[in-house]
Amino acid sequence: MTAIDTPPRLDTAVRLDQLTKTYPNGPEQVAALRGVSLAVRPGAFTAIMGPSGSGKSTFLNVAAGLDTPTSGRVHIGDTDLTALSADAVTRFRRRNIGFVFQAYNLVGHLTVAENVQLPLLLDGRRPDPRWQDTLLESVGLAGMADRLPRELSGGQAQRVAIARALVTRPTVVFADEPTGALDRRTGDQVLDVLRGTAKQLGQTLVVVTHDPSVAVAADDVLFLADGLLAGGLVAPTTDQVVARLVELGR
Amino acid sequence: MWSFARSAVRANPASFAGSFLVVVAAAALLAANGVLMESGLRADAPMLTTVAGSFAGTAVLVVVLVVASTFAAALRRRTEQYALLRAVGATPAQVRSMVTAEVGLVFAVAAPVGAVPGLFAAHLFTPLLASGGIVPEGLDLVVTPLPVLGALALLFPTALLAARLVARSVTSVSPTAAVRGTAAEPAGLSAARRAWAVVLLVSGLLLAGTPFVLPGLLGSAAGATSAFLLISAAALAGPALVGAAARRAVDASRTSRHAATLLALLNSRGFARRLTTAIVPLALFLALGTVQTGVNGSIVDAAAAQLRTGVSADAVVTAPGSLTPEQVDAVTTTPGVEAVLATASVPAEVRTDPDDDLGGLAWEPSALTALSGDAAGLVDVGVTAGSLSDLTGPGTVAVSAESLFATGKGVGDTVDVRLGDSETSPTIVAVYDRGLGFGDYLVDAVALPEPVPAAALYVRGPADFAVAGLEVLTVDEYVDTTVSGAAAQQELGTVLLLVLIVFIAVAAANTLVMLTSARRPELALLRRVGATRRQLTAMVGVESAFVAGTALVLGTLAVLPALVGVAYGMLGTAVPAFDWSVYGALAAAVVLIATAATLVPTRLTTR
Ligand SMILES: Nc1ncnc2c1ncn2[C@@H]1O[C@H](COP(=O)(O)OP(=O)(O)OP(=O)(O)O)[C@@H](O)[C@H]1O
Ligand SMILES: [Mg+2]
Repeated sequence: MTAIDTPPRLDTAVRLDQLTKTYPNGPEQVAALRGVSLAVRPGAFTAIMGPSGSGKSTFLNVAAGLDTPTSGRVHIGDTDLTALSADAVTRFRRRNIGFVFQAYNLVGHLTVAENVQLPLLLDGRRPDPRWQDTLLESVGLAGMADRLPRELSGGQAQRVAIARALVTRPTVVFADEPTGALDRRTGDQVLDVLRGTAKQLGQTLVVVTHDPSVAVAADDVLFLADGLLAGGLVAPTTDQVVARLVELGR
Repeated sequence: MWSFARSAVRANPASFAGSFLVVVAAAALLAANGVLMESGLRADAPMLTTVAGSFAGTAVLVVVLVVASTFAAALRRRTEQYALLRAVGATPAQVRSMVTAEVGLVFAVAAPVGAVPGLFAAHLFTPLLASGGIVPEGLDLVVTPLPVLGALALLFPTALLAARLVARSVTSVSPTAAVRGTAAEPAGLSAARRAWAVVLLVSGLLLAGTPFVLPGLLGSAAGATSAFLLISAAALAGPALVGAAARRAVDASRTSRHAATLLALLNSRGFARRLTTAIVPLALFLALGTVQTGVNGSIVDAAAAQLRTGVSADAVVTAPGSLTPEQVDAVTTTPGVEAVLATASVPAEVRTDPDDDLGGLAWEPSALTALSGDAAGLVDVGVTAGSLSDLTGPGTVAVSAESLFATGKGVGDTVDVRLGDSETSPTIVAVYDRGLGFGDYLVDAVALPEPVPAAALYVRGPADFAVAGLEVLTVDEYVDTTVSGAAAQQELGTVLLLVLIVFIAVAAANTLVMLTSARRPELALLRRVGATRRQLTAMVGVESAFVAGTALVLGTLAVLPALVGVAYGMLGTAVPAFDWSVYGALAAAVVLIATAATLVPTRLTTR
């Protein structure tokens, strides 16, 4: 693969300033984010937790440039996403950001390999077959390159989505409940892949999860409640995480 | 079930709006044509019955094909919903009746909305009918509820059949497979579908060959229908053909870096069925317009060619309207005139079926060509049996070979002719070939109950005519004016054809819009994975070029055998009888429809 310009090393890989996001809901407005600020170190593994409907997916989408905030700024490295045009964000995103969605991840009529190559294809780059094989092997899908998504199990489909998020060697990877649909063993395996590759490539990893055992593997855990940050834990234990969740759930 | 259907309609407005529109248009079209046919029968205007009747044949074929494919496209995009219902416990029978109820609901509202205005829209044709001489001046169209009932009787089973076919494809697989299999299409064609495609292909090709065995109008009419069979064959085999073409294209462009092109080809490979439903109406649009104008053009050309070779006069004398007996005398007595043949055309009816059971239908509207003077040496109608010199006085008639086809009759037999109120049975004294140019029945002018003014005089001799109010033409000039007169007679047919073509165009555009807006989730996913709006637009643009290109190829291939056959049968050449200006305009319309009907909804859904 041709060398991609790696952005200069900064002290923050992701910086969010006073993010708000409101959705129109009939005459009312739903405030999904109500002023979230955050800075993530390069190479860190951050887990985001919180009750259902607390704004985790919204937060991740806005941070990854998939959605625009109602107000506030989003920096990935030294690029201000909020200052770019929609198409420029898209181009930046597919080169520098990997994303694993919560659901409906794969294009149904494309094979596993084609799904994985999609971001490269869209960027007019040629896929590197060795890197693709390495990725598929590390997510445990060696030999399934020519299958269609409907011929995969839910967990396998989610692992294809992870391979796709990593194929461009992005600097930041966002994942929205990547292990939500998986059993414990497969979930752990998927998480290991994400973490291992991130370490190896020096990637910054931000993962939304409901699973305390995922969170304990993270460097930092941040809690969201009602669209606001509700504190965080550094290198927590399972008990600490569970205790916070119970507290927030009340 | 009805409440389910009602909420389904409410929840999927786009999918139903399309079917609604097409049913409205189809019902209007059929009802209007029904009014023309019924008026022809009731008001005893046989020409109108013939034109409207022959149009009805084509219209019914087209409407059935289009309505069925519209409902199929509208329902197919909801396969996911039906699969989900199956997964939560709906039995196949429940899903089937749900689909039927939905189709019934759309139909119950749309058909009357279209058919009733269609009844009155038929009046728009009245000026054309009178000016084309198809009905007597001042004839009023008869409006009864019958055409509405006819339209409904035809459309309802068609829509139900389409609904059943889709429902069957949803319910024949297990619910889980249905839920998971929805994002991509099943590969391959069923054996029955393959077999039908081959049967239609072979019979289409055989039918296209009829003019080689049976020249003339009959053979050409049969040959022209082959285009429909071939289009139907393409509709059945379409997914396999489109899929194979796209797979080949994908492999060839693997190394391409143009994302939009490669994605478009990958999509075409994955959704060959979806693309086929888009391609078939466009191909039908091109084929119908090309084949009808090609056949009409060939008939006119063939008539012109027969006249040109059959008339060997030095001049043809005509007058606006017809010639008075004085004018005929003046021409005949002009010094230098060696021979004169006067011709006139008289509307008449000829019995085509010996049984009277058919009532009005046993008598077919036709025309007698009345000759008076010296036929010998002036016209050569291509006599194959008997002799024109026996055509003297009442009780004799010469008949074109074509009108005797399959009756088993020949020289010495009789034909029943009705002129106004009088019925006669003249004996056939000659059979001839050039019926298109000279008409199917020749009689001696004295055989007519009352004298008819001559329409044209064929004159031999080096004479100068100074008779006031007459036009003196060369044979070529005369042929040209006759041909343009014949074209004017076809005007109603042309307008009806245009209406039908517009109907197909609306249906084709509607199908494309439905298919494109159903792709919202797929386009949204591509956007999330990193496709820019420009890339998606380019991708859909390439796909629509693929659709338009395939439609043009299919449509052209489907009419080619018919037009070669017709050209051979009518003109004796093997150069396909394309009307290139019509073909060009239709091809441009295909490209325009394919592009506009996909790009506009894409821009809207990706906004
Ligand atoms: N498109 C939308 N329109 C209106 N409201 C929305 C939209 N998307 C999300 N919301 C609302 O915003 C809030 C936050 O939603 P979000 O999807 O971010 O929650 P979440 O924390 O990811 O929940 P979960 O854990 O269930 O995935 C919710 O109240 C939700 O109803
Ligand atoms: Mg979520």
